[in-house]
Order: sequence, then structure tokens, then C-alpha cells
Amino acid sequence: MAEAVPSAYGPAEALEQTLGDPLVDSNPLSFRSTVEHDEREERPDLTALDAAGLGRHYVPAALDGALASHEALFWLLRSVGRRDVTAATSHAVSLPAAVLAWHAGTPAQQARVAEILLGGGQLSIAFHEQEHGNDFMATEVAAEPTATGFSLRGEKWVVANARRSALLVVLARTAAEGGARGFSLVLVDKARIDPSGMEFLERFKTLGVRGQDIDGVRFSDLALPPDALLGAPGSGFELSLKCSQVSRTLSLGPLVGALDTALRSSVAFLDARRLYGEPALAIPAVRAAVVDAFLDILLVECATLACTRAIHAAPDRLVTWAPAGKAFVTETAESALHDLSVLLGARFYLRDAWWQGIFQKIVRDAPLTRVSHFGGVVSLAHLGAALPALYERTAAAADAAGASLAPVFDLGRPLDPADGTRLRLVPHGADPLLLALRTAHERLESGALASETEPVILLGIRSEVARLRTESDALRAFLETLRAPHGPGHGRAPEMLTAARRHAALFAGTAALLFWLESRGGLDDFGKAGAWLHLALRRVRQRLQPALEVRPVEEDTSVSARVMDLFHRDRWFSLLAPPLAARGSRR
Amino acid sequence: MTESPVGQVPRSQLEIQTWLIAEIARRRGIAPESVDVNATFATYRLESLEGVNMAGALEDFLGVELEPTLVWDFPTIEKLSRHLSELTTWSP
Repeated sequence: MAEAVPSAYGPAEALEQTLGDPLVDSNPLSFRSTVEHDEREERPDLTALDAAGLGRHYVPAALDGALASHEALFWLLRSVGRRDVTAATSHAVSLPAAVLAWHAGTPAQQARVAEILLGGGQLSIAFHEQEHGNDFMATEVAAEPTATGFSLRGEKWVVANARRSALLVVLARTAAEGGARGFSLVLVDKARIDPSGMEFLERFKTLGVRGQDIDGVRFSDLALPPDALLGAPGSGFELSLKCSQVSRTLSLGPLVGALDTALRSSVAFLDARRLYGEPALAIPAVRAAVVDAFLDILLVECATLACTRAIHAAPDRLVTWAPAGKAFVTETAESALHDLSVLLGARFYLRDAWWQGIFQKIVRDAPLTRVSHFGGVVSLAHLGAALPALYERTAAAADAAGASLAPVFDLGRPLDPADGTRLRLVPHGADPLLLALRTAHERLESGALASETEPVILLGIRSEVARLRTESDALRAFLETLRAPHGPGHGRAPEMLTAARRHAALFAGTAALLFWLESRGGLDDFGKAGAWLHLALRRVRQRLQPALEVRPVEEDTSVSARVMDLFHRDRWFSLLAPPLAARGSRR
Repeated sequence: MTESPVGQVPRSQLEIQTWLIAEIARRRGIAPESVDVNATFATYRLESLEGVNMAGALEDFLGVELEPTLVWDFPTIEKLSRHLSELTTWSP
């Protein structure tokens, strides 16, 4: 198939047409306007997103919304994110609260949340407190039972959008002694409270996403009705952990979108530039850097799509996949931006010298995803806690024990409805993804692959898969060392974060491999050929073990040609490469 | 909690206690003798995510599927082991 556009792209393609080319200054969310809003620390104008009905995609179809596939929602957020991370995160700020409501709300609560979102309103979560970071069990904000419901008291910190949102989901202490069952989620619906019990504190100044409102909130014996409780009493900690698996996956869309613009603006610069008597892109080191940035985008796309499709097809695996995805994507995005900044040279440092200054804005915006909502290090810690048992179980499992992952990785396969009841706090059994890596060499021996794939590429893929498998064996051995009796105590070992980071890289590489194995038939010729996969796996392995190696020039050349082809044809830098709004298109 | 798979032997409260003591000692790098069966898991900083993951490892030891939140509902070695021994000896 020459031009395979995934069906999940449909809503995003319509949004692309609605918003037009972000390089045209007069278009909504143009680079010019978003950078100007950022300079003035003003919220970007989101009316075009509301007019396009983006909020309907946050509400399940059963509640009269348009959310059927989280994959479609990912593409929508990616499309907004390539224009402006601030616009995307300011609009999608409602999602963590919405996910909690869909998961744990009563029909009445869900109807109210849907009413707000479908009416263009927004939601916030208020989890963090100034003194406690991600130590949620130290939460001081308390909801005490009263004769008429609850009384909410205390201060929350860095609440995104608190002033504008119609409703806040607040994590509050409901048992004086605390403990894992000592906290609950309560809904503060501004339409149903006495506003004198709630005040907003100073707006924070931030490194990036300067147009997004981030405030503190103080509750002073705020009276809440009895039906303000979301979920069972004492379930606040459990619900926030489970639902974060979905919401932290969704948080990646804007960042993955921004990487497209970062590479596109760099390529646009290089494409027009001549240095030392030749096009800048003819310089091998420049070409290699462009290729590497594109491979990073393919890897973060594969990791994010795996988590996103797993919301439907493997929700019981998200407990480790979502933190692996979040850690890998946030760290890779920031390192890719650093590498691209080298290509732009002085134009990266000058705030308005190229493409309206969008690149420097992305560099400042990107870390938000790492530090906000179950961010990078929190994800590594969550992952680390689960890894020792996961590797041990996977090692003990028979090869055939892994469930088929085709529903996740066959992009042509329609997704089942999302089932939140299958989210878990602890992974069960072996990890099918690690099992798939262990048995991948058998699939790579198949005759069909051999007849359709250049021998040198297939050999390269096999070799990299074997090396990734060795890495996973080494990781397992290392985790066993940490667990040995009389050791330093593995539960809080600092090495656990390093181990988790390495697992996250293996996760992304294996996801790329499985998309190729399961979806090859639907990919275009470039996707099928597999040079990208060979180089992407090589890049993952080099993250784990940097080595001085000669680059495979032919494959490098084919991938760099692909980058330029996608650039000139206004296609996403993506394995699936669907169309962007055409260059110069006006709304 | 679901039925145990074929071939699983029910564990006594003492066996479960011994396993929990060894596991906490390994996770914290402390001597098993210093682990107090009546102290809360929070004492050993096992009240949150690491606690539920410990329940996951306990699942492997017992060969039965457990609600990982059991460590929250039975927050000491003594309480958890008593509860589990009652459950695992219950078999038709």
C-alpha cells in the first residue's frame, strides 16, 4: 500500500484542515500567535479547538461524546501539540479528571462531568501540596465528614487551570491516621459550593508553557455535599494510581507532536542552506543527526502508540507499559531537542530568528511533560518497584505463555472498547512484551519475511534483536543481584531507577519491532522495508551501550531521503506518515 | 481471591510470616530478626506502591491470585499472614 492512512487519524485530519498551516500567521494557533502569547505569558486562544469540538473527544460515546478510540484522541493531541504545546496542554488539562470520572464516577457524577466538557467547560485535578511533592500519603488537605457532607480544608499547589475549571478533583485525607486507605477523591463543583470557602493563590511563573495558568488553591472549611465523594471512601490513592496509567499515556500526545515541528523547522533551515559550497544536508554529520532525530520520533511514536492502544487491547499491562512509555518518551524528546538545537546553531539561541521562534519555545515547553502529572522520575520509580518480580516471572514462563499482542500492535485491527476495570496496581504473570522479545528471533526466521526483506536489513534487525535480548538478560541478572539476601536492600536501591530506564528503552525498541512484525502488511514501502527498524533498534542499543561504530551508509541514506520526502510532501514525521495541513493553507 | 492453581499447598500462618519477614528484610537490607510482625508495613516504608508489589511477589509464593491492596487492608505481618492462612487453608 502506498499511502496508508490509519483510520484513527480521521478526526485529526479534519482538525488539520480546520486549523491550516501553522506557518501562516493569520491561522488559529499559528506559530506567530502562539509564540507571542507565550512572550506575554497569556493563554493562547483556544476557541478554534472548541469550535472544532475537541472537548467532545474527551467524553465517551455512551455519554454523548465522541471518545471511542484513545488512538484517535492521541492523534488529535499530537496535531494540536505540533502547533503549540501550551494550547494542547491547556485544553487537555481536563483529561486526568475526566479519566477518573469515567473510571469511578456514579452515573450522576459522570453526567455532570460530561455536561461540563460538552458545554466547553474544563476540569482540573488538585493532587500536589507544596511540602509533599509526589508523596501523596503525606497529603494534608482534609475532607472531614459533617452532618451535611464534607468540610474541605487545606492548600493545594501547582494546580493547572484552577481558576477557569468548572470542577476540581481533589485528593484529600479522609482518615486522620492516613495510610493507603486514608485518602479519597472529592469533587469540588464550583456550581454547587459557596465560593467564599475557596480562594486562589498566586499564579506561578514557569520556564515553558507560559500561557498556561498554574495556581495554588486554598480551601477554608469549604462545605461539600455528600455526593462529592468520587469512588469508595479511602480509594483515592488506588484510583489515582490506576487512572494515571491512562492519563499519563494521553499526556504524551502534545510532546510527540511538538517533536515533529522541532525536526520540521530544522529540516526547513537545512534544506535552504548551503555551506562550504554544498547543501548543508549533504554534510554526512548533518544528515546523520537528521536521521537520528527522525528515528527518535519513530521510537517515541511506537512507545506512545503501544500504550495508547493498550488502553483498549491490554489494559492489564499498562501498569508497567505506561510508566515505561512516559519515562522513555520524555527523556528521548528532550535529548532529541538538544541534538536538533545543534543543527540550528545560533538560530536555536536567538528567540525569533527562525520559524517565528517556535523551536526555542518547544525546548522550554518540553520539560513540562517530564515534571507534571506522574512524570519521568515518578514513572521510573513505579516501574522499578514492579520490575524484579516481572523479570523473574517472565524468566520462569514458557515461551508460549505470552498472550498474542497482535490486538495492540496490528494497527489495522479495530480496537475493543476501553475497559478500565482491567487496570491493575501490580502486573500479573509474565510480561508478554518481554516474552515477545525473547521469541522474536523465531519470527524473524520466517520465509515470508526473508522473501520480502533485503537480506542485509533483515540480518541487521536480527542482530540488533539478539543484542536487545542480551540486554534484557543482563537486566534480569542485575535485578537478581539487587534481590540477593544480605544485599543492600533492593526496595530503595538507587540502581533501580537506572534499571527502570534501561527497561524503558527495551520497551520502546520492542514496541517498534512488534509494530513492524504485526503491521507490516499495512505500511508503505518504506515502512515495510525495515531499514528504519534496523536503525531504530541500533539507536536503542546505543542508548544502552554507547559504542563507536560505523553507520550503515545505505540505510542512513534511505532514511534521510524519507525525511526529506515527508518534509516536501507535508506528511507527518511518523511511521504512518499521514498528511498535514498543506503548506500555505489558510483557514 | 480466586481458586489456587492445581498442586498448590496451603501455607500456614507461620510459613507466611517467615516469608514476609525475609522479604521485608531483603527489601530493606536489614536483619530478619529485627523485623517486627506487629509493626505496620508503613514502618518499613512498604505502605504504598512497593507494598502492593510485595503482594505481587507473595502471590507467586502462595500460588494464588491476591488483591494487591490486601497489604493496605491488613497492614501488619501478623494481620496479613493470619488472614491469608485462613484463606489458603480454605479449599474444597
